Amino acid sequence: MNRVQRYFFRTRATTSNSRKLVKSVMAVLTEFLHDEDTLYSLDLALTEACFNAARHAYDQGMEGDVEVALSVDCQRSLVRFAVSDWGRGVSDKDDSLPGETAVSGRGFFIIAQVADKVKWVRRKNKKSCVFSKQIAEGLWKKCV
Amino acid sequence: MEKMRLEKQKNILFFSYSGELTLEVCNDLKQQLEPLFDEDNFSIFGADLAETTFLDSSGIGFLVSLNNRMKQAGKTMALVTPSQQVVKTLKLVLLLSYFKVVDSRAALESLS
Repeated sequence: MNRVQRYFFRTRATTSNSRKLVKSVMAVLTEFLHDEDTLYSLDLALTEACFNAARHAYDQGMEGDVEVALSVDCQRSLVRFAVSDWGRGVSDKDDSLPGETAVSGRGFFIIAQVADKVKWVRRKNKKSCVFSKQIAEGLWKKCV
Repeated sequence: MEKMRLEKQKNILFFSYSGELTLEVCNDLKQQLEPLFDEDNFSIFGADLAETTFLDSSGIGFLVSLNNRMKQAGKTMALVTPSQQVVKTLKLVLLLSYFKVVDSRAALESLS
């Protein structure tokens, strides 16, 4: 029996649309998980990935979409996100932590801190940031 | 709904923000606060983040930028009663100890 639930969300890649998209994803995830701390961390990492697509994937004057594919794998206690765009992709994937006085450059560090695994996938013109997190058994609300 | 407020008490300028402090709002906030850096009628800047429900990397950058600017202007900045969400994000990027944090508005006066 397949115990992986898959959900797809897609919108125009603007900052305001991206945050709304993340909230839709998190609304689904909230049905599975009850730990506020874990949900906040995942919300934060997903927001960073989606805002990154909104800001950097498409050149000025060029419009495109951002997509989130959410997989909830109850059997393996795993939550996985694939955040995709069809623009130029992300050139700088540096996930090191910048100095304390730096005013930018912490987005990928946050994703790397929250997730257990992060990878970058390119299929034709679709570029994805894929990250997953193992969820402790007691933190599940439901698993169908 | 996001909301910014500014209040002046003696030599302290309070900035409070309710809602999500993210990329969506940071540029507007920076523009609104820009004229403050030239003012010399306060020496302490208190950022009351008790009602801030979400903080992303742009929000962090905004707070760091404010802190840098206040330091350059010879002023002191502190975070006042930051919410759990703000504390969690700042801990994640190892910046909680970088900021002065106080647990009440009254405690800001001791910084002067």
